[in-house]
Amino acid sequence: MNYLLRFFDEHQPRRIRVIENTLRNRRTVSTLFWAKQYGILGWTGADRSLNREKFDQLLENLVQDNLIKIDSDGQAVLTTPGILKQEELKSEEYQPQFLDWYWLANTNRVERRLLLGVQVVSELTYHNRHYAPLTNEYQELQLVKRWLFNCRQNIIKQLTDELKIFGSSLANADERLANYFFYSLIGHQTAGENILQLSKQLGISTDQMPVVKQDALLAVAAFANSYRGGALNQLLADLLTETPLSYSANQTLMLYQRGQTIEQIAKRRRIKANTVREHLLETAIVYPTAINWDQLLPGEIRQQLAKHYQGDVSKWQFKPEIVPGDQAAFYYFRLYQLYREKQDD
Amino acid sequence: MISEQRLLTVLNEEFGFSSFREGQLETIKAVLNNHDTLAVLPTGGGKSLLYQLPGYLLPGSILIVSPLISLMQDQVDRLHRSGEKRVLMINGQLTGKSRRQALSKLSTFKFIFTSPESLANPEIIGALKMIKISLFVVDEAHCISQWGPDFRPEYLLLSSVRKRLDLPTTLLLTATATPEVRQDVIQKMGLQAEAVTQVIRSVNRSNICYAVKRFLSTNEKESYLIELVNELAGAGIIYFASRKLATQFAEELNEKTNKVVAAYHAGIPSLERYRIQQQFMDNQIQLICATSAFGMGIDKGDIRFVIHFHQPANLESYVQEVGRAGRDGKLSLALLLYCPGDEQIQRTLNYIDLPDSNLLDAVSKKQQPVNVLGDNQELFTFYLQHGYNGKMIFNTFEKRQKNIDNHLRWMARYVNNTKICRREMILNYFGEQLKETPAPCCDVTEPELIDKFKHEPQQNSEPLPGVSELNWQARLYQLFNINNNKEN
Repeated sequence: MNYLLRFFDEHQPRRIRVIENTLRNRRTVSTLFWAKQYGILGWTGADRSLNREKFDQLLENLVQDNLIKIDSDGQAVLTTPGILKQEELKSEEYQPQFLDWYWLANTNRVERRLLLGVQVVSELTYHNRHYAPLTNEYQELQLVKRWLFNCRQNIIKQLTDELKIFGSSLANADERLANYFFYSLIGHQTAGENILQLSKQLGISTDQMPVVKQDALLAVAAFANSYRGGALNQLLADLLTETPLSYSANQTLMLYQRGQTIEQIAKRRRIKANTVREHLLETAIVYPTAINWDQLLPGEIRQQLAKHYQGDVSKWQFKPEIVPGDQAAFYYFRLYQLYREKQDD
Repeated sequence: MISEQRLLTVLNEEFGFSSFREGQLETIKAVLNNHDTLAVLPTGGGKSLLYQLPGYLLPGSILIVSPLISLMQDQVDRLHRSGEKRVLMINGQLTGKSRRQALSKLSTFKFIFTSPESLANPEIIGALKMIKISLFVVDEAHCISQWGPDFRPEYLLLSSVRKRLDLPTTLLLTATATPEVRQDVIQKMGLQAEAVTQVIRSVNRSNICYAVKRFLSTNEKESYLIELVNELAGAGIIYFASRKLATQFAEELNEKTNKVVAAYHAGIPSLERYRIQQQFMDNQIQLICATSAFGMGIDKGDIRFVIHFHQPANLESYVQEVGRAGRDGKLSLALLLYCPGDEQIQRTLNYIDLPDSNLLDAVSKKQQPVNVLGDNQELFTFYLQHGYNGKMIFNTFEKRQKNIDNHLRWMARYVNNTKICRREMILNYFGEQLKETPAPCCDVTEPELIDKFKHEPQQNSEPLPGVSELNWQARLYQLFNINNNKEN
């Protein structure tokens, strides 16, 4: 069974492209908005190597097995057998625990850097200089070389201590996760276990393995992020981001928090007013605690919208004739959806 | 002039060998005397030594053009393992700042590996022009003349690249080249045949035995494969025409046989490929299900059998692929499984929808958009950008199509043959005569051949540790060479 079945619902029709774009980390405001509606925001970037062909093939398999139905608008719901199957799988599916950190790093890059760092230190502890590094990428090799040089003094002890603490916290969350993590590491005279082996040893199906991997890597990124000055932090620092927002959206937010209007920000940053609005919407979706709703969505607009829109926000239809704000009407509509949703939480 | 004695000393000090293999000394001497050289040595004949050894004797850098990233990776890894760190790989993965950094330090690298595509980049050529290239190596040089699915038009630019680099001494390496291909390669590289030293050795690998099994349906072929894999001794590779099948069979064979199996192809993430390759080397995995292109980087001495679940496009590819077996000199099996319709797979893989020459000219004159050229528009625009007109392209590709058909006819002859010794057929194809028939040789001369490669019953691999036996702490200690008891 492929792991995509977990993303569908029996009542809420879900856009398949939103699911695809979420997994592949294609962060448009629309994708982020719907991912949040579907409760899958944490899966953003969880399968970056997925491509359209593979995704469509996996969905096609679900359709053929009569587990989901896809309508002509590209929205899918679970069928009755699909509901049963999803229920049945719940007990055997791996349940990720670190997805809240989805925004922290590109896990593919974390994996490569981390594994290279561990490999280099492992070979160092065995005094071996004749080995093939797991990647020949020039920049990665240079970065790890510099890391090793900077904390050479006690790198072995530091890294071992940190990995012990990290391992214990993983094992607390799920013993399988700790085993996955350490058995996939590459080092002196060991290439780690491959996916088929790990799947067998952990009792988790191969289809679920990308989920386990994503979880373990987000966990290590979160650990490196919190353990400032540590060996893992120094190894991964440039791969970790500060906020869930994109760089540009964060720039916009800072100006907005200083009280600048959308027009002022647009002028200062030499971007379109609409781009500024997109940035603010992105903030309202992925970083809602940074939002001052009274500033962002004035009370009078809220009142006007409240007359026309009630109930389940995901079913609201945007009607330009009844939403105030002219060019910014859709922006207000979306903001109000997010606002209501927050109120209902 | 460097003496033979000196060469032997370097061979021993740098590579740990006490004598040269067939054709190596002759090639190295030619190269060191600045002769452009074409070396055709059998698979597993130690071709990388032909540029690595001169690398330690010549000033400047050795530039190696390699057709596949996996192959480059493999060469670079091997140099790393031998302790040589002055190695650089320039390909599509090296971009931005790190590329600028690497290019600015280019002269510090002894061995620079690159792809024909990267050599089409002016920035890279510019940097290479600034350093001394003492030897220009084209690995798998038959690709220059290849008409198969890996068709790479950039190979045709290598001749002008060589000119731009001020004509460094050139070494062309391949394991499989018919006399026509040799001539074609030399000509396409812009060299004069009479001025090129040719070191040609037989493609024959006497320790590889050839066999073909024919089936009526894919199902029959499948069940035979499962049964056979269970019985065959040692490590092996099975080649499939698609990644999907390679992956499917890896899982199935893992379940249904006593071997530990993994899929290995371009769709497998690179870290996972690294693991699988290492495990295969260490015999933790005994069987690899691969696609043709990605089997190329695998270099393991004791591969006992290579099975083709689907036939390759031509006998060159077949000889290359089965040539991964028996590098240790011991008896090995090359088995091709066939069922009706298999040849169609290659026909489809190789098919190129050829546009009309007028349409090509119209695109060239910008009267039509590029996308009218269909799926292979990039290929055709490459030719248009390099001075070909519609008629020339049309003729080139028509010739290519005929070539493919011709190659497939040869494959069919090989598959359908029940009378002529298979080794003799292969040698004839490469313009050679069989001088001596080894025993055993092939399933024509010896019908019970395959049985020779089966192991005694009850030879099982060690089972994997189960979930309860995993211990992440122990694993951490092992990784960092920590004595567990002392620690606690």
